[in-house]
Amino acid sequence: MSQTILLVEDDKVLVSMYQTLLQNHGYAVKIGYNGEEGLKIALSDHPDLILLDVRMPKMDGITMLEHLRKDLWGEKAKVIILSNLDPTDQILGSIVENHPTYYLIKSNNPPEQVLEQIKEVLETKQEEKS
Amino acid sequence: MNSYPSKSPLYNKILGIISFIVLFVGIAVTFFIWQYTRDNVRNNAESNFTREVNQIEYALTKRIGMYKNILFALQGLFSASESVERQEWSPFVRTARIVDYPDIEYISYIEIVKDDEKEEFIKSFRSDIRTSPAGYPNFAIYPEGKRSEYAVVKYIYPENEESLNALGFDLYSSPPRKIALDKARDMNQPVASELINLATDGSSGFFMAAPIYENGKPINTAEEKIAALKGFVIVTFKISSLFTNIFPTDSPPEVVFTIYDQDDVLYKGGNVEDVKSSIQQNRYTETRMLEVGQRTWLLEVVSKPSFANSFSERGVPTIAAIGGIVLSLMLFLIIYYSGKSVSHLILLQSTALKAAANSVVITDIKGIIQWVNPAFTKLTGYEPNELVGKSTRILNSGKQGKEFYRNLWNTILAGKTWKGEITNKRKDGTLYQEEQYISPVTDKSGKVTNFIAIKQDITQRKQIEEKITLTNRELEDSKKAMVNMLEDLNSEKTNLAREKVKDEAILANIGDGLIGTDDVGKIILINHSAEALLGLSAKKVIGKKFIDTIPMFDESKAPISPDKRALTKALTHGMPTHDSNKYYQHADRTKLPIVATVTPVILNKKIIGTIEVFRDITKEKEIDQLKDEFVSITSHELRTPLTAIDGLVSMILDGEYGAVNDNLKQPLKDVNESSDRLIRLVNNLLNVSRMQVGKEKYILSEFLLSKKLKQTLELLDVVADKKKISLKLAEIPDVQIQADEDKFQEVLNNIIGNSIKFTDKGGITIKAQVKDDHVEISVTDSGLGIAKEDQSKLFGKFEQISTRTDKPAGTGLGLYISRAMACKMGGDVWLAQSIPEKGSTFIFSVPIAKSKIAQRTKKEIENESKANPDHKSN
Repeated sequence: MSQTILLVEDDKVLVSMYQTLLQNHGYAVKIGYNGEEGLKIALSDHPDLILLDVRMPKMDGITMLEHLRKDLWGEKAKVIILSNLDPTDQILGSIVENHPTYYLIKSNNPPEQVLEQIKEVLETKQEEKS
Repeated sequence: MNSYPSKSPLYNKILGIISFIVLFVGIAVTFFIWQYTRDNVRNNAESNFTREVNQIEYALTKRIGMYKNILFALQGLFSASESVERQEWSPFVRTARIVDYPDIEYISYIEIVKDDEKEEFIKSFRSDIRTSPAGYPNFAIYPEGKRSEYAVVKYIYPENEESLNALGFDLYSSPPRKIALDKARDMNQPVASELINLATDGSSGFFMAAPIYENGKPINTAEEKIAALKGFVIVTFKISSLFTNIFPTDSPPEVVFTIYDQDDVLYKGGNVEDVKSSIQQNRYTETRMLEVGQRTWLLEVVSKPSFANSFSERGVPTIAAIGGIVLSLMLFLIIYYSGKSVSHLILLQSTALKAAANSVVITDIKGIIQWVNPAFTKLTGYEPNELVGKSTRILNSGKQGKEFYRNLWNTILAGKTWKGEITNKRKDGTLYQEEQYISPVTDKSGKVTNFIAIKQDITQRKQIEEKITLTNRELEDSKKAMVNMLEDLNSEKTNLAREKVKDEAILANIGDGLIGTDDVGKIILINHSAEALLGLSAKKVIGKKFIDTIPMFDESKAPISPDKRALTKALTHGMPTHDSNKYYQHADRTKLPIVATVTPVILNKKIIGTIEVFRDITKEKEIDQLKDEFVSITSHELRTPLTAIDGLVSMILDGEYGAVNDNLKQPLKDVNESSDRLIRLVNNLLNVSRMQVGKEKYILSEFLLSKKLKQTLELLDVVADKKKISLKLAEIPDVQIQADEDKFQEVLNNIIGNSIKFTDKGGITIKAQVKDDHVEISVTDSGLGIAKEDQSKLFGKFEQISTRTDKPAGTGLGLYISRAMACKMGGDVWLAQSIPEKGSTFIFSVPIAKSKIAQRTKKEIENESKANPDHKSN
């Protein structure tokens, strides 16, 4: 049974790249091109993992995350922030403790490393479930 | 004269006549000898006493001469400059070493103030902070009252509770003082005052004053002197401590003396009352006049009883007289009654003469020695039998010319007594000086038959006299030297004054802030720029501690503790020290960004103060910040397309988009490598700009050094393997260190990564050793090495050392960042050694867990995060 990953990203090239990568490795991929879309899909589809960009039109990743954490399911949702922004005080301040949130800098993590992190995070989730 | 024929009336008559003659001659001879020995002994005592008086007079004159010299020196100091400031005065007086003259109580400078200048003088004295760091807010001229002119005590040395009482005292208000000062002014000479009550503590004393005239004004006539008079320097003496230590004990051993100034007793050497009231037969008294600063003192010297006794004990004259008379009588009786041998007389007489302490020689008319007494043999070293029958020439030292002897002989042959000093020679060849009385002995007809010479050894006295002449000459020489020194000092002062004006003009007008401190960090100088930059006024800050007056803050605007300030370091280590990127607090409490250099001022190997030059870097800061923001934003924008390029290419290479044509593999790898480098560059740029705005977060923890080193090396091994160079880890001490784990690894990665990059052959060795509070990790490679001229640039921003063009290019920021990180964690990174073509050794130091430095670093980082709260998550 393949796991579903929600990719929230506005850069089309990167969407295509990560989509190819994830599908090649057997994940089902859903895409939101901004925070609004991402939040909607997340709350309706309950993906196993959300890959979240920060700087996006309409609604940025941090705002989306804040909304997500207010939801009963969203509170526990696994999120990897995948951004080219350095974690500023403002960003880090929005990340509530005990909520499974990770932070990766895109440019410093080539595709295969992103893939590894995803695997790790997903495995953690399974352990918790069991 | 042997025996006489047997008795007959004529014979008896003759015998009677002879015996009377003998008696007469005997008594005459006795009288003669008595007279000379008495004269001699008296002379001896007198000359001893004179010697004592000479010595006292000499010691006093010498001491007074010293005081005069001090006055001359001070006169020189004041004459040489327009106005003497306290700062010049007190070191000069201190170096004049008045401690060497224990009887000088104070040295002071008196300034002449006209009545119309009075208010101004008081006002400026009170406000002039240079007069005293504490100032004299209550300074006033006293005693009160309006006078046309005041002679005011302006400086006094040494400064103590008593002496400061005298500040402001008007010497003209006291007639005896005014008399002395006026005289000094009119004569341009040191002048002593009469006995006065001192202004400092009311005790009895006097002073010597020398006038100071204004530089360049004529002082030929009395009117000119009055017009040119600026003030006086005076040295003050207390009677109680006058002439301290002038003699090793409190007075010379055999005499006491008193010094009078008119009717006032200035000084008593010894227990004068006791000596004067004692009963003495032979008291010696002498009074001399001492000229002291245009006053005449009387020196009265009186001998102690012990002095006279030491001479009358040798009661030779009396013994000689009594002995001679007794002998003459005996002889008379002997001859008169029994006519026994006259040789008895000679025997007895000579016994008496033998007792004399002075040398006695009897010669015939040609100077052939006939008899000498034991004192003479003792003096000359000749035995009597070696002398009798010889000419007195045996003693001739050759020091006296023919003329001298001719004169001597002429005198005595004419029947007169010759008196004089002769240098003679002992048997062992050494010379001695004697005072001689040579008297002819005449027979009844007045014909000279013999000579009697009575001699006194005066070698010792002569030596002392010579010494006195010598020391007098030395004193004269030292006076000359002093005058020369003063001349030098004067010209030096003029040059100095000229230089000072020049320096001050430069200092006042330079754009950088300049603050000078003394050896304890008190501000002694602040220029206009510094006043303006810090919003301070010189008047308010001079004399205050620099560090307390002008607080300093670090980059995050936290106060810097005094011991960390460059000023403190410069004062303790004597090395120029910098404070870069710090803040001074302006008077309006805003913070002013500055860079400062503190240079210690060293004189004779002693740190006597510091000069700090600082610059306002507000503009630079603004530009820096703009640049950082720009870099930060652009880097983020650069990252996104880079991520795509890098990610896509690596996916293509990994076959995510299907098999790759072999021809494409290499170019794709090249693209990948270039994009990797581009990403590193952008990251480094971000690091630098982040560090500058203080965004970098440090989480300190304690961990085992060896473990972390191994972990780091595992990752780097792969890279080293690719270049076929070895990566060796020596034995690592088992210590816990304190650092931010990620940052520690980043620094290490950077240093070792660099070494790998620049090494083609051989290998890299990593060692570690404990040094005080740190562990020093050394990374030694066998690589290219760094040329001397490039070494200093190594840790700068964007300094790419261009060793070779074909070498892998770095971002040029690695070492700069590494060093900044290491420093933040309480350590450092530096180049320990580098030889071109042989290799380099870099050292990275980290604090040992729980060490002092570790604790301090921890506190600093905690304080920072408190000031700048941050919620970190996993």
